[in-house]
Amino acid sequence: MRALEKFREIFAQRHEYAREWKANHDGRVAGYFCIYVPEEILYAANVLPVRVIGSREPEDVTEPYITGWWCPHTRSALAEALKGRYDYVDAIMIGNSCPHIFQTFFSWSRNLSPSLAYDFWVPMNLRNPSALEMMSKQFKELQDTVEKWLGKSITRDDLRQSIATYNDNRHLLHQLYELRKKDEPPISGAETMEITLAGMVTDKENHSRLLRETLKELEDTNSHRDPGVRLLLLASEFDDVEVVRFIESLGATVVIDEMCTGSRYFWGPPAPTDGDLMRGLVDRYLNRPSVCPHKDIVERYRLPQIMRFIEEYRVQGVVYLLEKFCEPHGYDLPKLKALFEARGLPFILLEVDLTTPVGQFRTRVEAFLDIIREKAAIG
Amino acid sequence: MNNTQYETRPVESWAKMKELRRAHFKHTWEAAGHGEPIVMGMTEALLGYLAGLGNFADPSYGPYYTKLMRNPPELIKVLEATEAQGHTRDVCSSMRCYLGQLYTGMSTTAPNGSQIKPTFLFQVTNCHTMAQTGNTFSEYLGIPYLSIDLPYDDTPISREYVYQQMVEGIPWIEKVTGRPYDDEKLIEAVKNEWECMVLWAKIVASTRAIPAPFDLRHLWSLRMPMLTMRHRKEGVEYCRMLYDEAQWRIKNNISARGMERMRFLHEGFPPYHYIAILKQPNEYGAIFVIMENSQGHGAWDRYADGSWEPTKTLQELGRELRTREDALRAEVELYVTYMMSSTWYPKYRPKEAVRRAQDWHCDAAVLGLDRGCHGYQVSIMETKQELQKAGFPVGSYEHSQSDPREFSLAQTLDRLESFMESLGLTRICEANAEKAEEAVD
Ligand code: SF4
Ligand code: SF4
Repeated sequence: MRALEKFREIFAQRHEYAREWKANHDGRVAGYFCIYVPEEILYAANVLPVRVIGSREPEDVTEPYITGWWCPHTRSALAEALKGRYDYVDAIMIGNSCPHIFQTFFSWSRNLSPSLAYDFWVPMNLRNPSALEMMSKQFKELQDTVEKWLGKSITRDDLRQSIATYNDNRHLLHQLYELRKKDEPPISGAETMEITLAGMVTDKENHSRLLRETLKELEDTNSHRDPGVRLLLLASEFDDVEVVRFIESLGATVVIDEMCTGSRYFWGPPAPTDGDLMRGLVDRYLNRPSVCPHKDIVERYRLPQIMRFIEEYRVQGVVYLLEKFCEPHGYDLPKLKALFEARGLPFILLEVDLTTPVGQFRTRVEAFLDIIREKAAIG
Repeated sequence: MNNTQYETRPVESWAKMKELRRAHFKHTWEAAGHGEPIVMGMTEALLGYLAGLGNFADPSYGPYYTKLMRNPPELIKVLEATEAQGHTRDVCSSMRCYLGQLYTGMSTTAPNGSQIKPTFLFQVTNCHTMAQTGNTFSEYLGIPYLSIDLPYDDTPISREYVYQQMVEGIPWIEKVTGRPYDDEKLIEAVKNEWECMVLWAKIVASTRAIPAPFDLRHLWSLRMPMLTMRHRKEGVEYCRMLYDEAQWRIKNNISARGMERMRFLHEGFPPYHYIAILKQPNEYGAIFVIMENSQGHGAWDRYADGSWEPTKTLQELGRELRTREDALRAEVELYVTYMMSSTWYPKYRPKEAVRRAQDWHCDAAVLGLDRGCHGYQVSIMETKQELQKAGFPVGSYEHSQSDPREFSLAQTLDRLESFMESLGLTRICEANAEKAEEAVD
């Protein structure tokens, strides 16, 4: 089996994978929401951090807990938990986030009684001068809580080792994304997404091992794959690979993404493995270049990052897969549209729901890609 | 069912509330002429902090917000102006109204056509939506933006964090306004603010009485001066007056509406563009008596058993504010410790709603399922479950607080009527209904 296929399998079998990991490692599993939970602290304590992701199946179990106008991602994640598919999860964690995902966290903690449910405040204006100090105290408090929960301490060496493991994984993902800059990227957007998604539910060491194999395979392949139209994909916690596969099947390649289940998750420099480890970790979380729109307050970092991606990956068009009812992402739309317009960059907004019958997008996406091709032909 | 007929009278402080409300919005247009800064944003918190600047204008929600809520066709045009910019309808409807005023130029245009230039944008970020709105607003007008995070949980870390942000914000404010920050003014304002929030908690607590001196429709408008000028002496005078009136009405058994056959809890915001919904039970001789938002604006002591009482004033606590640090730390405590964050922080809300219903002697609850607001909707369905578990019948209706297009009056009235009838309530005679129509606007 090619390494690439293994990622697909891991993500599809993620619950089984976590159960097995738990049995083999004598460890615990923590489900986390959003990208501000410092996984390194958990991993240092032999806890497997697993990103809570739904299954995008129709569901009828969340109605008693959330109203009908809550985003499909949060609805699906809660449904998955209520159906018992996350029964191996011992703890759940969240950093202050959008109300929708917050609701899922609290409904889970109230109704499924995990052995630990932990939430903490993440600054809205991530780079305000007091944020670093406050987050350092909070990360320390999180460490204390985990230690108390497990009845064992996390040594400096445990933490250093964990940070190094995460750095390594992020470095490999950066290498993978680097390949996508090529004229003929050896990997599609859908395949990349399978890799990043698998990374959020797997032991990082295992993921890095597979990633190394993949990188080798990709470097060895002499791909003459015509990418068609080069696209940037914008989204939040989007996990429906089939939608991306469909878009690409119409003659395009997603060469770069800016989403919580993609680049936003790992982008940025490594965290230091010497000196004040906790502060270094906080610095990484607060100052990552890719910022959630919900936290992109006062000075914007997300938009310049998007523009850098467009430049570096020679993007010809932008697709925004917006979760139905998502307010935080809705805010950035006018500003983004104006930026893209000013650059003459075609942009399409597609609203995605719990289940997204991709056929409904066909005509719009085809027309969108045609416009780009025509533009390219004119030069 | 309580079929007692009580005496009722118009609320005397109502006229004062209207006068102060008018003055507040008028101030927006006059401030610049007096050399005062104009602060944009939803300035519902930390007013005392801003008052270190001296007088300032702060047309929260936009200077025409109240007017627009009374004029749905105009309101819709403003909402459409926001949508035309590319914002989706999933963005909070109040914020779409705020941004619509910006995009149509209303935010900066006085009724006489003259223009104002806001000085900066200030936003406390316990509501995330407001925080993002702040960005859009400040960028559009090219004015600087100061945000202060207000974490939900009261911990030493969160208190210190808010304090530090405020300390760091002062030189920023001085720089963008070109005015020195005056600690004497800060101290005075924080004292006022503290007192107003305690008085407000006492006013709200007084509606636990049977009969209640005011109902929720009264409180909804009566809170305006407390929200907008609680850092000022006029705000304190107003709250004292209102509190005295509440006490007088209780002593003399003066009820809010003449009858309270049943008392209702309302959870979730009501539609601001049809605020008369809060009087709907009056037709059945019943009243809405409390909601989380009315209670939440006060300063409360909360006890381990889940109970609460208005907290003490600084004077009662024997606490002197002498320095900037004293005042800022008091301000932090007021908002992090004593103001109730539970509407945004779902951890406590369902249980608190039950306590609220019990404490205010409610017979049943109605949920305003508000598509317009994401923050306040968190936990609303679980609140329903908890209320039902505690034995309270619960009805609900859907709307969007500032978007009349997402509200069906006929359907809502139908739903509420069936709910009232299911509780054994019948419509009371017209005379009483008219009586229930006393001075509100
Ligand atoms: S940011 Fe949007 S997609 Fe993410 S949880 Fe919130 S509403 Fe859902
Ligand atoms: S209505 Fe809700 S979302 Fe809108 S500004 Fe108020 S609290 Fe925030």
